[in-house]
Amino acid sequence: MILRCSLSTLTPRTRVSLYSVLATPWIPRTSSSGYTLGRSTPPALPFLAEPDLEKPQRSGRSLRISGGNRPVFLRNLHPAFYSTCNNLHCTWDSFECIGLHGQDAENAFKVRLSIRTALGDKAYAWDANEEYLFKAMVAFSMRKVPNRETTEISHVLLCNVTQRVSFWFVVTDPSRNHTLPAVEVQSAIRMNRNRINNAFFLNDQTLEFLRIPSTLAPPTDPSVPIWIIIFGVIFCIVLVATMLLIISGIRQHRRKNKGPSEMEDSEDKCENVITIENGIPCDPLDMKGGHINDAFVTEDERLTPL
Amino acid sequence: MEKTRPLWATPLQFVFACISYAVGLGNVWRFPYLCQMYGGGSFLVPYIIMLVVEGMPLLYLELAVGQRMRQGSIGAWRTVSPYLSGVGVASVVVSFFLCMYYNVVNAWAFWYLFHSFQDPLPWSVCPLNGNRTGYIEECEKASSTQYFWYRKTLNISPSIQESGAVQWEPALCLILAWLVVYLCILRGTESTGRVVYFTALLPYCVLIIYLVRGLTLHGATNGLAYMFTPKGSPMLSPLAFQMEQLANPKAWINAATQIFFSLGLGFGSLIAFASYNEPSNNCQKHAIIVSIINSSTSIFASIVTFSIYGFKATFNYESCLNKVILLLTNSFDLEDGFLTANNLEQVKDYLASAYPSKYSEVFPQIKNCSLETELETAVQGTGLAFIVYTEAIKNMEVSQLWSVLYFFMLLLLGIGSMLGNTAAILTPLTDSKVISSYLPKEAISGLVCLANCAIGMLFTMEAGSYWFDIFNDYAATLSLLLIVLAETVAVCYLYGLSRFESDLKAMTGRALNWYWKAMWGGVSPLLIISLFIFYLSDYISTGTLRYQAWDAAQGQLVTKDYPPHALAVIGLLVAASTMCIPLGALGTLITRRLKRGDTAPVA
Repeated sequence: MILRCSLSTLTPRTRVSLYSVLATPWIPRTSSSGYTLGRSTPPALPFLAEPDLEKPQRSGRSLRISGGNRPVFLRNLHPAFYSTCNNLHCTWDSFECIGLHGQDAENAFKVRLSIRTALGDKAYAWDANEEYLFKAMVAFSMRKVPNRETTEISHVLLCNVTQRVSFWFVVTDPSRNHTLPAVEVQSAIRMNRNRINNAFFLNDQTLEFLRIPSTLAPPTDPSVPIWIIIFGVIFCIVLVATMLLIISGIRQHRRKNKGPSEMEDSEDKCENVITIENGIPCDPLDMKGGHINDAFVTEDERLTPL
Repeated sequence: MEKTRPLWATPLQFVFACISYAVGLGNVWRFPYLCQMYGGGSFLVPYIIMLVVEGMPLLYLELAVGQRMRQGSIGAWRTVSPYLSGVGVASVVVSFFLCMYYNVVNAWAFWYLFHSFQDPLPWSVCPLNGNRTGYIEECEKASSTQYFWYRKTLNISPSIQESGAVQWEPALCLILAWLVVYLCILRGTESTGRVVYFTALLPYCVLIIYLVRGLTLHGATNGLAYMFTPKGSPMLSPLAFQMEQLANPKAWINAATQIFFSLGLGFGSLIAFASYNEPSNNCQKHAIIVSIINSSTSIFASIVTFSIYGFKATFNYESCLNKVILLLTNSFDLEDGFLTANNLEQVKDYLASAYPSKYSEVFPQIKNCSLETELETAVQGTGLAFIVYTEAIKNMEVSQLWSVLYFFMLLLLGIGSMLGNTAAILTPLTDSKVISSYLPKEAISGLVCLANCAIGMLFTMEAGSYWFDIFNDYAATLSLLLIVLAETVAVCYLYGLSRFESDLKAMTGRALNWYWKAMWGGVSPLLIISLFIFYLSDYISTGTLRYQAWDAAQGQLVTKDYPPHALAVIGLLVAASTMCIPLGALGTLITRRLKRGDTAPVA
């Protein structure tokens, strides 16, 4: 995997011009130094093109870092940049990582931030200071790993910052000869993920480290599931209410049974038997037939009924 | 003379009892589906016509019979004609089947209600897998609400053959549901009469709250517009589509079926409720009121449902768009916030032309987001109530409150209907002198509830949901049509329409309108016969019966055939109730023939 990167610790003015060259190519924008891009067709986004490693350096501004078998070359990216950089003061104390090969490439991680999604109006701009903070957080995370307590901010290298905002970073060892293994970096970041997120007001979804899976928060399981508590409460209430109703029903039933047995000699008991007075059955209104016409007055009614 | 029959304290209690019985879960989860399937606003035309032609007359008939005979379904039909005792028994059998499976829905509603008191709602997030690096696979493939329903609530098995064990959580909820029902019917009309005030009125309060909330949700208007003007086929304009649906016989048949089953005719519950009336009660007015309220509630509930649909569809559409935006932003490292829904198409075209190779890599993952496809997912039944609604609720603010309100409303509707169902069984039992002399009313109710609860445990097994669907689809449909047909024919032709008319006049003091006579005598029986023929031919032409089974590996429903023992159960269900009618008539015939040797038959 080959990376094409850009300068990372330039002054803000050069950064804007750099972005204007590299990031949104089809919108002609004026760079801070007045340099405009006059392109008719949108150029390929620079990171999609393959870097040309075999070409000789165009200027003397290059540092050579050799690590193991694979030298890492630095060079200028773009003629336009070169021309703006000539007019401005470019600091080269950090370096650009172009053309990381093999092992070094595997030890690099891509980071993606979605600041506007997370913060909306309160989104801050991504500038050199934020990058410095990021490098500090990564260095801090590495320091917590045993044997790596001497990691400095300058050992963390950022490159290819796009407008997305996304970039690659890699951590080198103090001698700057080789990059630290991916496993160490991964575990360090995972341990301190929360603090890194909080430093930027972001969360796991808006500050993504690709290839570093985040540990999902464990579900907060209470010792007794909540639903059982509510179920128990309602169950007890319903049970108690049912018992009360049943018991009061039984009591009423007993009172009713005692009542009729006391009134056995009373004459106004005609619930279940048909009483006969004066030879005429005193049936109440028969709903089923209407055989007995109660409007018909018998001659015996002149007598006073009991 | 018999003991004085318990009565409703006021006629209002009777009306509320009928309303809480008729307005049930079907109004909420079946009517909106039918509306969507058969042309939205134009479905109301066959619906209202069927209401006037079929619903009101049959409802009035049942209430009048119950009020006149003053007995439960068995006694009432035996009074109409001794050969019709089978009709009453068939009603009781169908009500028994209904009680068995209907309360399981209440158990599920209790389960969801108890789980609504958590933050976040358990169906809004997928649970984590074993090593906490991702979510459980089944939940990823399906959605979190489907996972919660199929796995956590039902723990459903892959097919009906694998019945699994009884799940203790739904079993507990079922016991609670039956306990609540027992509490309400314990004292007969005395307790039922007070409970129906709540079960009839409170659901309306919740529906109104939901209507206000639903209409103010983002995207609700999309759903409402879809309800009244469904897109239907791309060739027709919405109006033409609606007109076409009017000519579709299926729309009319479904309207007739919905009216029929929504009012709960033929179960014997209405006869039971009316038997506790004063003889002079104006049941004609009540019949009209109850049927109009039932239909208006259906329409009202479907407005609420469609606004919720609209919200859910819009939400899903927007999150689909956001996923596409994120995918493109990440693949091409565009500026965060640059891509919006408005310029998405433009930018996609630009990217496709400028970076074709990279775009073609990303292209398979880009989904086509469409609001119409989201709206077109028509769901009915438990799927609507427990999956679609919960998905919409989890995206609302203060979702716990809405969830509690919604499941509380479902519970009220379900328990209100259960009161009627149990009354249909208990009234004939308590009317019977044999049984009521041995056991008090409370004990009979308790035994019935216990028996139903024990059998209902079948539906809490892992395959229980499949058995539930069998009962839901086949236990009541054909049998009810036959029962109501028998009832109408019996009253009009066996008992005599003129005799019934004079009975009613003596009872209530009002003459019978010619309209009712025409409907009872001619139109309604014809309608029921045509519905019956349609259903029979539909069953026969479908061939093998199939069901939807949940496939955990794929995270979706698959269609399977019923095994032979399930088909046997279906046949038994239908036969058990329909055979009662001829068997009852046969039994009476035989006993009469045997008695004819001793005494003259009593008229």
